[in-house]
Amino acid sequence: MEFSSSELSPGVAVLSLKGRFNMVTTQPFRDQIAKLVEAGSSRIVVELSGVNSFDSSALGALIGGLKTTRQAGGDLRLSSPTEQVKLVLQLTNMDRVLISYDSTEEAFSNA
Amino acid sequence: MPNSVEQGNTSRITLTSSEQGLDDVHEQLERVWAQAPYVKFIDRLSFETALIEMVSNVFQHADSDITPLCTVTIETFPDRVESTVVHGGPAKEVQLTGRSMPDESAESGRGILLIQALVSELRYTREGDYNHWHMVKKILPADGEFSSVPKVSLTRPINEKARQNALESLNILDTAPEERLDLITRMTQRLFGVETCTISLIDNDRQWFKSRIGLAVEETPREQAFCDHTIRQYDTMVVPDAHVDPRFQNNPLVTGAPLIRFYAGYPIEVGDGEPIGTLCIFDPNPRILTEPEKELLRDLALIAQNELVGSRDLQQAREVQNGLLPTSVPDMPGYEIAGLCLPSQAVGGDFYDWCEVEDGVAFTLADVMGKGTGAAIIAATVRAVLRATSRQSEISKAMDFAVKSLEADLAASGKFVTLFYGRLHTDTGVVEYVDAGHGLSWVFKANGALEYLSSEALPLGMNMDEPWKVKSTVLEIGDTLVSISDGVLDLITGLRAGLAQATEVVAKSANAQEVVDALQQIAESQSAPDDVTILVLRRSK
Repeated sequence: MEFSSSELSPGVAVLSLKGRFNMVTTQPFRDQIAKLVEAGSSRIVVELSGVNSFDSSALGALIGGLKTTRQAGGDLRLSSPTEQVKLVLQLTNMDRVLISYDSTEEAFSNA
Repeated sequence: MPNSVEQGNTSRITLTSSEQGLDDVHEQLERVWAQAPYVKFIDRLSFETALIEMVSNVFQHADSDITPLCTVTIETFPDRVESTVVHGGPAKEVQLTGRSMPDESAESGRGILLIQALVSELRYTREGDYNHWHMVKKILPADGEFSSVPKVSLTRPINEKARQNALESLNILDTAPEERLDLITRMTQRLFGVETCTISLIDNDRQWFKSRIGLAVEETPREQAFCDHTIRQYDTMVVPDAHVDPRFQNNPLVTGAPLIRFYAGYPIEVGDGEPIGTLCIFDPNPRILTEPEKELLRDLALIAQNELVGSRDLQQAREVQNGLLPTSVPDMPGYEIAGLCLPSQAVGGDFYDWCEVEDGVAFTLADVMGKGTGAAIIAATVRAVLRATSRQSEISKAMDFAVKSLEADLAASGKFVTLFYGRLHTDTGVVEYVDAGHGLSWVFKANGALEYLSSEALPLGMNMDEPWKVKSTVLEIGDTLVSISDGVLDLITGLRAGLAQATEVVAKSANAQEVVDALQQIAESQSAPDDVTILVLRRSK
């Protein structure tokens, strides 16, 4: 899985994922989140349009990221999830916790 | 590229490392979907998510650094997609029911529930040293045409007790090889050009080979039996290469003799569809079976199945035929009568019989030309007719009636019958007899002389309209009349030597039954190629 990150606005980062988000790539993902929070971005939008595989360990990694950002006073939100990601979120009822937005801009527009 | 097999609607890969494993499964799925374009996007998505979840669970929960060998099989059907993930390692304590999603903050514990939410069915079984995860995803019907292919599950439930009972009802376990079954295995082995073909029966804790071509052992432990997997299926089970199949790669039959790499088997059923064994082929070289080859193996297995069931019917026929032999000895003070009938097959064309008549006993030893069931049917008819005509006061009349009654049946079947038919008058010891082409009856006189009861009439069924020539002899005290079938001759080298042997036997025996027992011992010590029948009538006082 490929990661790319950018700063959307001060304190708000976008982390774009591309490829298969599964157990093999959960640790690199956690590292990316930790790096961003350390660098001062506790509000993170995880951009998922390029994710073509998503399993429960990926879900676990997102929840881990959510905890990390919240502990730092921020939040983690999702943008443009693929059908598969939506399916997993719905089936596990995690769509209530991991909120999805249609675009990265919308994710923290109310913040 | 991992070890992979793509065959019809089946795709199987063996995953060798967790690094590559998930990518391999993704690629496998792409190949599967390319072959099954009718599977809709949403179904693909759900199935794919579930399968990836399953495989990552396997890798995540591997208890050691060693990657558990794992095979992933995907099968597509018009109405569903099935997958079986098989991996080694310790047994899993799996709770598939009564679970609920963990707390929202939990970072794990959703895998199984997610799979259950994604597919129609999830099962876990432990088989041998392997964990089997089986998923079924029912899919939306294809656009336009509606498929009516019957739903067939990958694995069948086994009722072990019913299965074992069905097997035992055949009375075939530990019996000698039979040509009619060896014919099938030999033919199958040649048709497929493989090293070995067997008819394997799964019996309690072993598999026993009723027929085997190209295999040294008679049986193996059941836990090693490939066929024990086959009987759990409804269709041909194929293992293209046992070296890459985690179910079998450490099997002693794979790592040692007979070094199986390729295996294919089709279940054999009896009774209420109980799978009792298989017709299977195997070879030390890997191989793939085409669909037409699978069908061929199935057809051959069905032939073997019919033969196995047929042997049960024959067994019952044998019991019926045995029931036709006389069971009690007539009350004739001073005389003894005994008989023996050993068919070379389950049933035969020989019989002996006796029944009480007005002043003594009427007795018969007959030999229907040929062996087996056809001869047995005619033998039963001849016996019944002779019993009925024995009521006639004169022996020639009895034979005339018998011939008239049997003529049409014998002509229609193209068979003829040789027989010795006699009547003993107990008050005088006179034996009247006719010998229809049989010519194998003697009286061993008490003084050591031998009297041959000669034959002049032709066998029944020869259509000769000549009058019966009735002959007679007298049994004196200590005389023994012995009539045999020509099967007995096969057991002795030459008539002269045989008669010398028989004279010895008769002299040594205290009564008729002992003569029969001694001759039976001789017969059973050799494998009789023809039916063996003996009738002994002795005057003791």
